Amino acid sequence: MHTRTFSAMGTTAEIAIAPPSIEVESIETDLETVLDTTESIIREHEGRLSRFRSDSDVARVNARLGTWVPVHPATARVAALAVEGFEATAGLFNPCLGTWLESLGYAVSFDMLPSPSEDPVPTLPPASGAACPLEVRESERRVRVAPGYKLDLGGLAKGWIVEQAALYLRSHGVHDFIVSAGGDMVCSGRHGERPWQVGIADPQEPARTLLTLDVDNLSLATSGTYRRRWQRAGATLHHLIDPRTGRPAETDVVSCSVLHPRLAAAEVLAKAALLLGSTDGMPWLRRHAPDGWVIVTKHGRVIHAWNW
Amino acid sequence: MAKSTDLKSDRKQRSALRARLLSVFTWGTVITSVAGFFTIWYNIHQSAEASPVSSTTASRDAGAHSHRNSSTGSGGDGASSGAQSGGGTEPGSQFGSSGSEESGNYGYGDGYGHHHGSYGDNYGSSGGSGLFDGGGQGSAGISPGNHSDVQSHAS
Repeated sequence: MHTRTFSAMGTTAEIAIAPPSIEVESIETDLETVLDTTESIIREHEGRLSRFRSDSDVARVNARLGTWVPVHPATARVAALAVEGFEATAGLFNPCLGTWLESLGYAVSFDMLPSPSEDPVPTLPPASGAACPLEVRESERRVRVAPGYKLDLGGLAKGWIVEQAALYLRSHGVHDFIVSAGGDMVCSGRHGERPWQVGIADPQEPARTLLTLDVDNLSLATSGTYRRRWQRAGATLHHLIDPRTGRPAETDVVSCSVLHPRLAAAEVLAKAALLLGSTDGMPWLRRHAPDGWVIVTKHGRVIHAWNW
Repeated sequence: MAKSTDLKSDRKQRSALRARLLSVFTWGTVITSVAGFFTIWYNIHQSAEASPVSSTTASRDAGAHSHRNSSTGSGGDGASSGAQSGGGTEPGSQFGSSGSEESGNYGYGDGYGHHHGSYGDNYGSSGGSGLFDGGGQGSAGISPGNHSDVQSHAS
């Protein structure tokens, strides 16, 4: 298997290509060149969509709240998908909670997050679920964020960027591969005669695999509260903000993995189900994630569902 | 003819998935089914008092989240336990659950007396390039083995 691993998007990106995966007519393709370009595509999009880079589109939008800001077409596309995610989840998925994250201490890339702080945890208001604070005029390549909010496409951009990498690989005759960023992945085709096999991490011991899935040509995203955590005034905070409370989510779900043809959609579905908690999240997933899902609760219950 | 072949292939795939799922069932596993959707659960990291569960036929409101006893049957899908009350379940919240699983009206109000309808209402409404569109066809299930090519985790 041909692999490439590198740091991107505040996590580890991995490309694994199953042999033989190159079409006959592309047999002379230089795989290393294809991988180089794939990595460049990921880095280019990250540069536009990161909340933490001062020259990114997201930073420029956040510097001019309340005004229409011209952005790259890719940014406008991701922003439009984010609005769709907001509407599909009635605001549970909110791409404009950057203000909340910054106030709670998540103002820099996670690998640079400061040591535990004794500053008190601020009390923040709920975010409105009535209308998305992000507006997009995609044909004009402009976006606008309402004052009081800050754009944070982190919940969706990673999946979309991985999808672009996957599209590039397919366009160059590579069909059986995994592109993963921090565990959110497109599993394209198969690994030879078998499906791709993906381990779901145990939230209590992330190095351990809780469950192994056979994945044949689908995407898989996992949202969880057991990573990207930090200490503040003795409290443990995490990055999944519940817009209904303005605080890090406190539900019984600590990890939710969703299978879907589209990785960006899987990310939104997993996040929304985690915020809903198992009681409301499971019936919702049953309706919207027919390819399957896995929930792990804080009580150690593993729940998974498959449509047959 | 092609359609018949597709159906056979589909049946074969589903049969294989069932076989895979059955192969990983253990004492602690609970299986339920509603409308072709099977939900399976078990516990991990439990202390010694976690005895093997016993199988019982589920009552309508045997939810996955609150029962260690097995519930196998049409009602115990671990889904919602019936209709939920209307908007504003949390004081001060602008989101409140409303509707019920059975009625298909599950959704969130906006706190101002409006209802945004079912989550599902938004699917397929945004053309061919929407968030939930495209991506091709695939399948997934539980693998009987422990080997994995890659791990999925929170990030």
